[in-house]
Amino acid sequence: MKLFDNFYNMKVGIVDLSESSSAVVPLDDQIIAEKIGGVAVNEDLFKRYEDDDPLILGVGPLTGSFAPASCLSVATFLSPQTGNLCHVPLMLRIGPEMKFSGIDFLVIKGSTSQLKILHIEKGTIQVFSAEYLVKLAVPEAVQTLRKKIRHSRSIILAGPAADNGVFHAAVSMGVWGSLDKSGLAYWMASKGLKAIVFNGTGGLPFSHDNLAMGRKMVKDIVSFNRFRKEGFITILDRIGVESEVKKIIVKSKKKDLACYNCPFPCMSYVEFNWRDPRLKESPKIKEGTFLLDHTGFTAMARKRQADALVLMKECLNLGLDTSAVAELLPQEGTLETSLDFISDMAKADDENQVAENLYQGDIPLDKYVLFGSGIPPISPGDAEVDSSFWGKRVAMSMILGVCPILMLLFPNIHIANLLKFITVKNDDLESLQAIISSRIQSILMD
Amino acid sequence: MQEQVTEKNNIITLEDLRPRREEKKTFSDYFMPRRHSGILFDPKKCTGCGTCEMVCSLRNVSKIAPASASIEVLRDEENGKNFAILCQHCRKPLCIEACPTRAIEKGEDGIVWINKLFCVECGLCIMACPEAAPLRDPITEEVNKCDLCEGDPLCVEYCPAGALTFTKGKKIRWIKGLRWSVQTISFLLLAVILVGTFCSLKAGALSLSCPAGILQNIASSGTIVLVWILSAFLILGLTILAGRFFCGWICPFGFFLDLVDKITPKKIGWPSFLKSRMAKYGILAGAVGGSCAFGFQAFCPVCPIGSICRSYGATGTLNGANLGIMAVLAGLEVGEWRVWCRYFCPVGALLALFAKIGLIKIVIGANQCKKFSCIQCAEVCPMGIIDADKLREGISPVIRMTECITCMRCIDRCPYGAAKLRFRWQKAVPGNIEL
Repeated sequence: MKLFDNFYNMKVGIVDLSESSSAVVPLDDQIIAEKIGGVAVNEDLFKRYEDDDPLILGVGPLTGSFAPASCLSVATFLSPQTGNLCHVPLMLRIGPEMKFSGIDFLVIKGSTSQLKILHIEKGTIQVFSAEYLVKLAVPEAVQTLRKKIRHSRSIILAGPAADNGVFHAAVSMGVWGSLDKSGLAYWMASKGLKAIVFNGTGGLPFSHDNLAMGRKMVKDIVSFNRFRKEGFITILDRIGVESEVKKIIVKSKKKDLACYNCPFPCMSYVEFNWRDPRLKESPKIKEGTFLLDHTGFTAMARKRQADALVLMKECLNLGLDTSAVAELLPQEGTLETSLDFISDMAKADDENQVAENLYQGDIPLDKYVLFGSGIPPISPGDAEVDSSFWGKRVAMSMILGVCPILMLLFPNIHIANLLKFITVKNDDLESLQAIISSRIQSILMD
Repeated sequence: MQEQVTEKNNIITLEDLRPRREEKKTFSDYFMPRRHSGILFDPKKCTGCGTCEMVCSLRNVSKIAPASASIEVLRDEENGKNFAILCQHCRKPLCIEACPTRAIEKGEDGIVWINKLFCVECGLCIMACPEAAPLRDPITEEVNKCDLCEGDPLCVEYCPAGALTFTKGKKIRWIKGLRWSVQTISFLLLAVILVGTFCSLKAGALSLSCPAGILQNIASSGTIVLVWILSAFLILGLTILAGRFFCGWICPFGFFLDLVDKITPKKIGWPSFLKSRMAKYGILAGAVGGSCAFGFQAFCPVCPIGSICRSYGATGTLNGANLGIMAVLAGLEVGEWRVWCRYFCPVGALLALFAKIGLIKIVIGANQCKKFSCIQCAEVCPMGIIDADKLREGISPVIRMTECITCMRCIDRCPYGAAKLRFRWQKAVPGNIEL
């Protein structure tokens, strides 16, 4: 039995949008042995299909397993914004659902003029027309999709902004947004791909020992001296956001939410009261929104502190990148003008606007952009952000298929401990560690 | 003999193959504590991580396959809420009734489980269950249902947010035993030993009276005597302190009705136009008005409480008319519990006015129970004031203390500790509407 047999379905799905065709082929053992998984395999597949300008979705060996926060799936593609290869992390339940739907890697190539949906279940891929979803706001589109496709457990959706060809459109995982700030939604819409639906009805054995190991690791996390379960605010704390911004969340937070098998919820659901100024007789209503994008929210709150949550929700509804919207919003303005601005931006009525200087932190821009520009620059301890540490941790988590945010928050999670979820044999561990180190170097060098 | 065997062969039924197990009730079941095992889910703590589904599927199918678990976390994306579907191991499980092959059994320990040998995966149990808790494995098509991991649930052990709690049930039914004891002693005291003393008792300086009787007395005589008012204060003071405790625990006629209800436990219900809880206030007003008009206590001669208190012994005054009233009122019990107390009793009406300013309240935290199939509190409430529909929607029902007789059956019966007695000024159960 091979090392990774219990961790992968060993299947790659290949979709050609031009012909609305799909195929599922076996995954080469050799690739897994050499690259382990996740972003490293994605890169390999990308090179193989480079001429077709593909989008590769992939999971790591630990995705879906008992390793804490084993939620990750990675989208690898040529960013329309930089023209370079980038890897966007897709969290929540996308990774496990993809794996349990029967495929480990998905290569999407070609393009079509009619919008399409990919539905993946029990190791098969179906391609449907998505015309009925065109220009629907994200919540309506998700609702319609769930009605049309039974058991659509996880959805990656390009919203109405992407339909209109907006440069700063962002994909949405269900209605919850994403960390896509590198143009994944733009890529999808430009190729005629509206949504990818995973129905993970299957499963994988992984290893029974992993259960106890996962529990021990959760205990290690909880015992870490900086462990504070405050949801979204914890991350804002760790990236040094001013207290005025944090107060917005403190006042409105209703619940903390976590990704798949994560002991540390870093997202929050917030509620706010507001009156739509665009309507003549609008009553004051209570609404809620889901906060997942830490840097996006921070940017928006810094620009429009009083209306940050309302504007954030509007961006999510239209499928826009909040960071870019915050950057492009005029310095002065009311809620009404801001909402109008976002609405116009999503329609791309004016010429497609391009935000510049989206990130000015301590991490070198090329590294930050390489991983989708959405992973918060979390420092390992009380010290300043260490760009080398940040890059290595993110690359490692993206190979193994665990959440990079958790890896950055808890430096006491060692790579050796994570690899023990795959094997406990010392020889294998050493060789795995060597492979991962070389893959991390390779990814960061590229 | 040969014929008999042939006949028997022709009529082999499911009853012969899988006889339905009768629930054995022992004497102690009626009075002693009983335990109810189950898993409590706290939606406020749940982060939606799905670890419960993972560990459950590992036990069910020996691999991580959340869709094959016996617990399912529903994620309301738009409202940021999570809710877990899992078996509640109901007291009277509908799945057992629905199963055509009798594959579902309830063990001595209260755990409801599927015997896979007999399950034909028809899915009728899923349809019968109010929570659709039996879940169909999408791969194997088998129906899985939580069996509490034979008493040590993995989901509870591994939930990182502590949203699941395994409970072997709090001690229940001790209140029932206490209430029946108090009711019996009160009945013997008021109706047998100190006959007639409920209506009026004077022992030296001590003077006790029925408050409704005193009200009629004042109306009929047109004078207010301070001693009369003070004599009614025992019951009124008790009502301010403990709600309509008198009705639930002391009233001899209430005890009589409870005994009748033991004989007629199944109720046929009365049409809604016959049911008005305001009627008792009308009867009270009529009694006071009649006393004023006729110059004597107009209601007391036909009062069922007074009748029962005056009926025993040499001085017993129970006549045909009283007997007739009691028989009619007892007959009304086939429709609902405590019909007299709910709609007609003027003593209860007077006490209800004082209960309104009482110091206590009963709260039922829907967030704490959230067991759609349970609603045992609503089922056992003799006054019918617990809104089962609200509970099914996950909303805490408002308990009107003017109608509540503080019998505490709801508290006694609730296996989840969601029904509680609180002081009026105390906050309601966290996360619920303020009562």
